[in-house]
This record gives sequence, C-alpha cells and structure tokens, in this order.
Amino acid sequence: MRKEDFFTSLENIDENFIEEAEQYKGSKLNNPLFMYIGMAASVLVVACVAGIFLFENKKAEIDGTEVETALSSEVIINGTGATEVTKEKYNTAEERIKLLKPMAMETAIPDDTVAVIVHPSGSVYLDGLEGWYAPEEQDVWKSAIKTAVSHAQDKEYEVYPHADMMPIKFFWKHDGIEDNWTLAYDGSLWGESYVNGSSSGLFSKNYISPEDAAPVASLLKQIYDFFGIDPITPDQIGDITYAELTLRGKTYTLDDKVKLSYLGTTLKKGELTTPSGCPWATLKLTRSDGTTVSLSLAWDGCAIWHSDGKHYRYGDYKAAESIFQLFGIDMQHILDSN
Amino acid sequence: MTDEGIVNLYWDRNESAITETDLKYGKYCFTIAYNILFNKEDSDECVNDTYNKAWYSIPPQRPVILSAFLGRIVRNISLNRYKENNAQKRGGSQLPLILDEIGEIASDMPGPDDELIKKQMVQAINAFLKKLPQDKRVMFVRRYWYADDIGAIAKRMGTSANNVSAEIRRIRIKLRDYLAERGFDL
Repeated sequence: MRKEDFFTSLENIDENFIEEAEQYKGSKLNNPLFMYIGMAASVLVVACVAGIFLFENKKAEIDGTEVETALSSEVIINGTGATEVTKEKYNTAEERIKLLKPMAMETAIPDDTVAVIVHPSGSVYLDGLEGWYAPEEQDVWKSAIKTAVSHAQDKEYEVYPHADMMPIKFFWKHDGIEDNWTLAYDGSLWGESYVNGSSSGLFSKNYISPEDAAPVASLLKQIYDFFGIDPITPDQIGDITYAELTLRGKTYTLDDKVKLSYLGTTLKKGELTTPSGCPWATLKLTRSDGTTVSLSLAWDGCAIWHSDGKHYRYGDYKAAESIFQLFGIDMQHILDSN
Repeated sequence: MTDEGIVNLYWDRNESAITETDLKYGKYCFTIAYNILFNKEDSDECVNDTYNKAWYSIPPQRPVILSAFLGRIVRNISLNRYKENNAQKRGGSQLPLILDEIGEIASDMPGPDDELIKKQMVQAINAFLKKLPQDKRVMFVRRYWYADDIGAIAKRMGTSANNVSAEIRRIRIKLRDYLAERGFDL
C-alpha cells in the first residue's frame, strides 16, 4: 500500500480516539517537575563517582603534576565532560582553568543561580546526566535573561521547524520560576519558563526572537566559542579507519575496511534536516589523518545523525538498520529489549 | 458555545455557524493543516475550505463529535493540497517525516483499491488502538492523525522527546505485525 494512502486511511479511525488525543493533557507523574527531580538524582549519582575521581586527581594537583587531569576532574565534579571527547576540549587551553574556577562545587544547581549547560555531541547529556557551571557575572546574566524572557512569544506552530539547537542552554530557578532556554543557531532562544513547577503561565511562550534574545545569546555564544564546539558536516567525515559505537553503555568497534567504507559513504549522504527527538548512540570515528570526530547516531530506526545540534538524514529505516548491522547489532532486538 | 449549539446553527442555515466554528475550532483546524503543509497561507485556505465543506455537509449530517468531524475534513483537504502542490521536503513540515515512518508499516507498493479492504484495515487499526494504554494511543493518534511533531507531543504528554520517539517506533512495529498477522498485505 502507498504510504500516503495508509496515512489517508487513518482519517477514518474511531472519532473517540481523535477526541481523546485532543483532550489529553498528560499525567501528573510526567510533569516536568518530576523530570527535573529525576535528572537531579542522576546528577547526584555522577557526582558520587566524580568525587572518587576528584580525590585521586587532587593528589596529583597537590604534587604539582597533571594539572590538566585535575582540570578534568573539576569538570567532572560538576557533571560535565564525562566523556573523553569533552575532556579533550576542556584540556586544550590553560586559560580555561581560570574560567572554570567559578564553577560551583555543588551537584545540584542552587536557587537563584544562572547555570549554563553545555552538551556537545558525544557527551552524555541525552542520558540526562547534564553538567553545568555558573558564570561569574551573575547580575549581568540575570538582567539580560529577564529582559529577553519578557519578550517571549508563543510559537506553537513552529516549534523546532527551522531552529537547529546549539548544544548550550541556561537554567535559572528564581522567585518560583524555572527558566530553561536553549540557544538556536539562528540566535533565537527556545524553551520554557515554568511557574512554580507547573506548565501554566509562561509555558506557552516558548520562543524569543534573535533580536530580543541578542544580549543573552551573546553571553551564551562566548561560552560556546570557548569550548571550541564545532559541528561537523557530512563532507568532513572523511576516510574512516576505525569506528567506535557506544550504545546504552556498551561499546562496539569496527575496523573492517569494507564496512568502514560503507559506513563513511552512508553517513556522508546526510542532508540537513529538522531536529529530531530520537534516542542517540555515540559514534566516534577515527579518520585517515589520525583525527577523531564524534557524532550522535539515532538508534530508534530514524536514519539521522547529529553533530552538536545539526541534524542530518542519511536515508530510510533500512539504511539505519544496515549501519547498526555493521557493528553486529540487531536494531529490532535493541528496540524490543528496551 | 456548545458543539450542539454550533451544529444547530448549521441546521438553521445561520451564517454565524461559521463564525462560532472559527472561534472555537479555528486554531485547532489551523494546527492540523499547518502540521501537514507548513505554510500559513495554504493552511488558512484549507481552514476556510473546511468551513465551506462543513456548511454544505451539515445538514444532512449531524456530527456527534464536532472537533473530530472538522478535523477529518481539514486533514483531508490539507493532504490533497499537499499532493497538488507536489510538495518537496520543506523544513518543518511533518508529513515527509511521517511518511518515512509509515514506510515501516506500508511497503509503498500499489495496494488494493478495494474500499472494503481499506475499511477492514481501519477496523483492525481501531481494534489495535483500543488495546493500547491510553497514553500510547494518544501518542500514536497525535503523530499520525494530527501530524504533530515529536516535540509538541512530548510537551503535551509531559515527557521527553526521546521517550515519545522510541515509544511511537515500538507502536509502529507492533501495528505492522498486528496487521500482518491478520492478513493485511501492506
């Protein structure tokens, strides 16, 4: 049957289902407030692990050695950079130590503190283990945020259509409001302002135009640039000599030349597409010049990969399935076991 | 105004039926059209065509659930407009993505034109949906009837986009198997 015919046929499904879907507003257990609690718990777990790591590295720092490693531990204590990719980015410039000093040592973001959350591709952000840090000029940030949020608009019909999200956002809990906004590549901000943990009030105003967002966007952009996040494009994938796929905590490797060639050819077919809410695996590729790149690969059947918020579609479901088969992974099995 | 009141206006051939419909269901209809077309002007026209069609359908019809009745019309008109335009994949329109997803259920080969078979298939889909937990059923209907994007569904459901995406994928696979077991060669 033609896909369009199937879609058309669905118009005749039971009217009660159509009405039910229109009136359904979600359950309390799924309230974003509970999601925050869950995320906070996840961050706490990371902090415990990180605490052990910090202890080991502080010894090295006291001895005057391995400053960069100590820096990594400081990053990790805040939950950020729990992958090799991110640690590399933190380790490359000594000046970054200075910027990282104001990072709070608490694992939960304190009230009335503007926190910036960075989650480049290859980080564990999408597993809910976010990292964050607090910029020094809090008053400047708060003032800019208040002004920007006061211009928030309702963009119900255009959520995510053209605004590819940058892997950076801010969070600020104050006066019963939780601001949670992500910067898009076009300079706009997309997000929400929860009022007293509920979705009422400002919830529907989910968009701040590039003009109104400019002061905050500028601050976020400085941090974005600092981390050296640079999304890769399909043509930058190059010749792959080794691939490592991390899916749900398990790592699969690939060094077969023929398979690597197929992998590269398929990924390079990627065409820019709208952002997707897929679950992601991390694919780390070593290129023929020895450099590595990390990208996020959807594992729910969508043939999409993204690099730091730029999403690319490389084919259909079969293409996605074939990629995972290269690593000996039966996608159907993965989905069933989930 | 209640749905019954609006329907009565149609039956009385009172033109304020259109105004009242627009007040209560204008945004609702526009959302469905816009999800499919991703074009404001086209969507506005489809909504107006919907009112026009409703005007000539009521009477003789007397819809029990007015929202679903209007939604079905605007969905149909918008889909036809989409086909007429031979729309390319434009950023933001959900339809190309949705059709890609449906590719896991339907082979995209020419299928039976037999209306009876299509009717039986819809009945089977209804039976399948009835067995689903409510939240999963809502996700499916929002995606494949309202053509909502994943982010909008996640917001409505109060969960993450990742969860919605993975859940809908599982429902698609189950539906494909369910229909295959019942002899629907899609």
